[in-house]
Amino acid sequence: MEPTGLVKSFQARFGGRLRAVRTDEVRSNLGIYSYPVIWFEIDREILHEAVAHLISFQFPHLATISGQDLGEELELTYHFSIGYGQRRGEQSVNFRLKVPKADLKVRSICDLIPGALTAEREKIEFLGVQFEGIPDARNIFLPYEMKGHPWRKDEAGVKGAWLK
Amino acid sequence: MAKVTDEQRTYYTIPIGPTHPSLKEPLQFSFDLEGERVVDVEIKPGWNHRGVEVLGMKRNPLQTLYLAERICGICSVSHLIAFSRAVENALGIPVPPRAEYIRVIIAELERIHSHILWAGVAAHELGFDTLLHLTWRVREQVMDILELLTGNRVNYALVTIGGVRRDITREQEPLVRQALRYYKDLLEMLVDAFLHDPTIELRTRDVGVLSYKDALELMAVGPTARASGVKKDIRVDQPYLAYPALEVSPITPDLFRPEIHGDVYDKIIVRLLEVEQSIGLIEQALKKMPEGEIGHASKEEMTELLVQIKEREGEGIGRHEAPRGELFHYIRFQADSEIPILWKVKCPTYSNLMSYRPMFQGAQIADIPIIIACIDPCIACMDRVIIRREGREEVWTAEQLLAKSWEKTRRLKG
Repeated sequence: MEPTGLVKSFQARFGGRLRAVRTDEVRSNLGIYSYPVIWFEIDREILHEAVAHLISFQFPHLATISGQDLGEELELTYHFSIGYGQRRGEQSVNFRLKVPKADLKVRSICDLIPGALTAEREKIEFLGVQFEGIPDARNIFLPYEMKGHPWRKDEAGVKGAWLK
Repeated sequence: MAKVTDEQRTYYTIPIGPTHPSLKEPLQFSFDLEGERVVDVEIKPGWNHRGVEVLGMKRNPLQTLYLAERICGICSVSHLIAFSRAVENALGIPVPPRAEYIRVIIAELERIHSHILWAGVAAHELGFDTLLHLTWRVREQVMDILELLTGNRVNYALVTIGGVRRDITREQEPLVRQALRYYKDLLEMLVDAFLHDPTIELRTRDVGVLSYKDALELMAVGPTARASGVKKDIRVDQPYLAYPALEVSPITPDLFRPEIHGDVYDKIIVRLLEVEQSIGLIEQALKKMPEGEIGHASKEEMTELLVQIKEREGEGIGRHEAPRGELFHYIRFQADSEIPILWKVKCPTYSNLMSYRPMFQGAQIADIPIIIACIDPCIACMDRVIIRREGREEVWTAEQLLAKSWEKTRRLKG
């Protein structure tokens, strides 16, 4: 699968709901090879569909989901890769979406990729994202009864006796 | 110990950890048992979470180098490679080819010492301490070479943004080759001791089985995935450093025996064969390594680098095939600040954690330690915040858990 083919397929499928696409070509310092890293900015409504579309190419590898507090909204980036198992065939595919703080719901992708559970649970406890349809929404790295979300920069952050 | 009775069966839940003799680092397992058989398991990490990512978002990347290296003592160069690559990819900082080869050599030496260390731990979990002492004694040779090349046995402080800090000299090369010969000669004995031993075969064959489907769907990485036949190896799939110039292919157990079972035995096969692979890779790297710069910046150049980091903006991913699997660092910079606005670290054990569940289902209590050990868990990498609560006690210690368990046993006895 050529990176341009993958991008075109997503553009044909999702049209205007793909807000932006960028492909970085990461060059080896030996000058003999390069690989693509694709960044999709998407509406959160199409996340589930976009992951299902990615699965139609190859069952993707999900490294993790990174996230941060941008002030008015949260930003999540799903770091996937496809094409593993083929010599020099792997390309990184990232989906970035914004989640307004007034409505923190995002559809869980655990029904498509069961291995996404750890990454989603981590975003629940650290950022307060609410994943709809997640099989287990308890904290994973933080104590179950922990109050506050450590990566939040507003009043939902960690306070009081929880901070040392 | 909790007892749950439904209409037909009685289940017991036993907690193992956070601190337990079979665990080198804190991790809590709650096993649902039916007699001697494990029905299900619940895993709770986070007992040693230090908040390293947040610390890294409060200082510049040159300061974070020292922090990133200390996320883990076993795969410290792995974290530095992944972190440096993330910064270099984000800001377009080139690395001289010779430095890329030196990074490969240190990374592969680290893989040799990590896999041999694991083999010793596995032998210990099976009650085979002679083999533990033997493997750890032969591991000293690679530790000596790492010390010779970098000055340290762990936390080598070798990799920096844009290159490496020490060159491999002509005088050092023969000593590295000599160590590689030592391991080559030794490998046959190690393979014989681990893979042709009837006791080890009995304890590890068809134990802790992870199917291809589960390995794929639960995002297993590294030797855990490859032992189940999932060919994920970043060195092959998306080569980086000097790997595009080297011969490397993913190691799966079918190179040693006809079928892939995904059991603990297969995981031993993969790790031992990877020691052989690493020896080959270092030999290739020594042969092909060009002369030239290594990217070690002087004080003035360091200031210049920091100015570049401050002026540029961008985001980058640094992935590295660590001994335990995919290590992933993501970093993002805004212009006019040398402090990253986001740093995310994902270590191999984070990805392999979910694979524990299918491996434990149906296992016996006595198999618990070896199954825990078989993914080569590295809790220090995965946990990154310490939570302290004042006034109230929240995190239970092993002693408290045991006291609770004994109390309940007494109560149940009536």
